[in-house]
Amino acid sequence: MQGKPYSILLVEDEENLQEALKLNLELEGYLISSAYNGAEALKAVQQEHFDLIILILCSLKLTASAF
Amino acid sequence: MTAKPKKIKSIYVIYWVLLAYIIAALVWWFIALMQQNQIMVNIRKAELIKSDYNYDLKFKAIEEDRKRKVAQYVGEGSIFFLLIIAGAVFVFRAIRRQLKHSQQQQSFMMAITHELKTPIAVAKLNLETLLKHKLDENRQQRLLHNTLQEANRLNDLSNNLLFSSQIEAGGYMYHPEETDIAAITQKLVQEYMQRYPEREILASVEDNTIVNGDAILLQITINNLLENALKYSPKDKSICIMLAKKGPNALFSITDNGQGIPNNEKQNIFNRHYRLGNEATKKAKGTGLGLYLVKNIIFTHKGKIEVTDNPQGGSIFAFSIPLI
Repeated sequence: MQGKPYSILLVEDEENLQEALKLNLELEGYLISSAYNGAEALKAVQQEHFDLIILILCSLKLTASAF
Repeated sequence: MTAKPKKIKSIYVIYWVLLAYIIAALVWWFIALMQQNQIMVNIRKAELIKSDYNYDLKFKAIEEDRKRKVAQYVGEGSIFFLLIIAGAVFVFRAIRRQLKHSQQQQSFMMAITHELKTPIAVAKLNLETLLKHKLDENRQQRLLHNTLQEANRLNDLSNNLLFSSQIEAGGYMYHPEETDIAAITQKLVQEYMQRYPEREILASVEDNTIVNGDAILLQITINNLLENALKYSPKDKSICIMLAKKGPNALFSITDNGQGIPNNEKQNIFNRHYRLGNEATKKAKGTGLGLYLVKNIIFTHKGKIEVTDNPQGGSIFAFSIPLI
């Protein structure tokens, strides 16, 4: 990847799965921020711009519309 | 997602329509009998001859007969009505229980799928990462450690599934023998300290606490309680385990600093497939099997289990079983 790396927000409530996904995406050259739930994810998107958000809706502890 | 509530609604509509029809038929039957009775009385009265010296007696007899028939219809009708209501309540409860059971089964299948797939996904991803990339020693160790943690989680889950189905089917033979519950507790505490080195696990275990119990079942019990305490409390909070002899019993307790359990849910958490929290927001993890199994095992050991609030926040799970 050339230039500024794409930034991704990864929302996953399973700690080990989050760690494994994060490592793999980082090894591919992406800039990863992570959140465990919807509240953390909302806070992150309000503070920072992301090129992509990867999330499982049912792990948000929020409804989809709230997100 | 809309099919299920529609189906449930139609079951309730059919139930209420049938009940209303049966009650309406009963009322109609009562009215018809009363009318028929009145017609018969009128005919019998018309047949009486006023000049008959027994006229008054016969008239009175017809009236008494009418009253007796009315009392008979009211009595029979009331009994029919009460039987219908009792049957309706019984059927309503059975339908409600069945619907709840089927919803729980569905929710359980979703939960179990999630609980099975996640550790498999993590293990697969970690092993593929190790094969694909040349990682430094620390990262390799970290991935292997996480994979082992997930394998242990799968092992615990399969144990819970296996034993709960065996207990329900009456397939597991309970083997009580002299068992040192202190040794089981210490072994599991050590294991969990290795599994979760970042967590603070405090333990106070009284040696040589011997009970008449099944070592495998007691191990599953303590394992489930430990796993739950770690799963449902923040990582920066400690969990505290205590095992002591108290009178004729061995008393085990595990204290966490998690979110705690609301009073109205304290009894339900030991029910099969019950999971704390709102399904829609997926507050609850797990399968709803662990505490159900724990309760059954403790009861099999003639013991007691309860959950109380930790004054510092969180919960205290405590069980007691008789010492030898």
